[in-house]
Amino acid sequence: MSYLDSGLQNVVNAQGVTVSIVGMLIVFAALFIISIFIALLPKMLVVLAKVFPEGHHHAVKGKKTSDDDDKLLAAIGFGLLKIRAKEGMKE
Amino acid sequence: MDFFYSFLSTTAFATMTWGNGLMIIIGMVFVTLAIRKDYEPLLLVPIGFGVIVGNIPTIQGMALSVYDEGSVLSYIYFGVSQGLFPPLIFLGIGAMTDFSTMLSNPKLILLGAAAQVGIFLTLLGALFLGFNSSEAGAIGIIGGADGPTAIFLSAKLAPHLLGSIAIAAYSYMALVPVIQPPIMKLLTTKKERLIRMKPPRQVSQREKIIFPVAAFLIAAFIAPGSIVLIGMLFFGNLLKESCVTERLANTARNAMIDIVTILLGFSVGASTQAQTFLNSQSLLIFGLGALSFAVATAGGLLFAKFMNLFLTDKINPLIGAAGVSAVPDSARVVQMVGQQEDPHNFLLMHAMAPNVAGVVGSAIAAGVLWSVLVV
Repeated sequence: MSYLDSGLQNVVNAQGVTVSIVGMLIVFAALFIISIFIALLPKMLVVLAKVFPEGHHHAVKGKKTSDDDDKLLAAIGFGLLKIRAKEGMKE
Repeated sequence: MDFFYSFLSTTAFATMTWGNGLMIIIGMVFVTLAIRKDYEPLLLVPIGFGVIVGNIPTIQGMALSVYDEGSVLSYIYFGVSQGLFPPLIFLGIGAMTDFSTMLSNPKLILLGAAAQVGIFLTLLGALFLGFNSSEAGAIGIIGGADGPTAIFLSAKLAPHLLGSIAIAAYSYMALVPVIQPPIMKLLTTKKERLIRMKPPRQVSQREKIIFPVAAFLIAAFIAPGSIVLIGMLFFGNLLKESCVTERLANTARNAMIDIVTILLGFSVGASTQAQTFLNSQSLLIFGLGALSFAVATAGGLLFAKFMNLFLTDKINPLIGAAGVSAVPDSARVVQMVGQQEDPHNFLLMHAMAPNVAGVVGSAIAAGVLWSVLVV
């Protein structure tokens, strides 16, 4: 028996073709179902939002944004300006 | 004087073989590539140094190497041999992965599935070359382009090949920028490479929170063998997206994944002793590994072209190459090749979708192979 024959025989004995095809189909099926679920998710969320409206979550609400930082800087700047103005009036 | 001769006979100079010398050089090449060429330094430095450490001949009767019962290195290697480290790495990957682009364009997930063809064709190739079915399954998973998955599955199916498979998987992951571009250019036309895709839509926080739980349930029900890897991946992602476990997510994606990567890389490297590593089987595994990477890349690309036959909004077939789950390297390669044709075409965000889908796909494939091939 040639090397080619023994190799092919090994593939047949181990049911290699079946394992490969079925394995590939399972991977495809799982990811296909996940993709269908993701495609439908926004529609499901519209229905869900009617039952459970999406409120502001405390963890998200508490997060600082760059906009918050700007407001804080503006407030500090305004405070410093007022203090300086008062000091100027005293002098 | 006898004491001195006795001591000399225990030194590595006396017991060194040419194989150990060659492996030490390979270890040094890995470290050099990582430092000089920036090829996956976070992996190749620990692995390379581990290879050097593992190939210093040990003293008879002393428990020193990863294979000696009771040695310190054997305890570290326990995490590899029992498949403990890969799920922890998946937890960290989950905590750092943003699935937004995948959620905004779910059809791109199929590219991540198509690229897994590399795993199953390599399995056939390995069977043809005379490996048994468990070994062939472990070798095939190299085509998933996912180091932790490759280590996990080979620890379960063919522990004696773990060193060769892990080194092959990580080497080819480091070589993604070298292996993929020629295949991508060969299988696409200039016109296809110039395709611009629609920007992804905004994804709500609710979608991001529901996705890991739902995707885990779907994957786990279809392929229960994948629950360890997929479970940790999506658990990590839920930690990230829930917004209430930021501390845990931070630890998982920073400190924990770094610690596990160090221990895993070093102990895998140290397991590549010349006596167990330098043989014809390792050469075949390296050859099959290269083939599996090429087939996986081609599989993703060709499937993207196939999908374009039916789609009105065409997808750039280059992003199919990111279906191999080398995150984020293969997505970066897509961006690089795409920008060679059109410097204003930004494919990175689109390529991340099949890229993260590839991680999920290869973990499911590993689960399937584990449940079918375990003896």
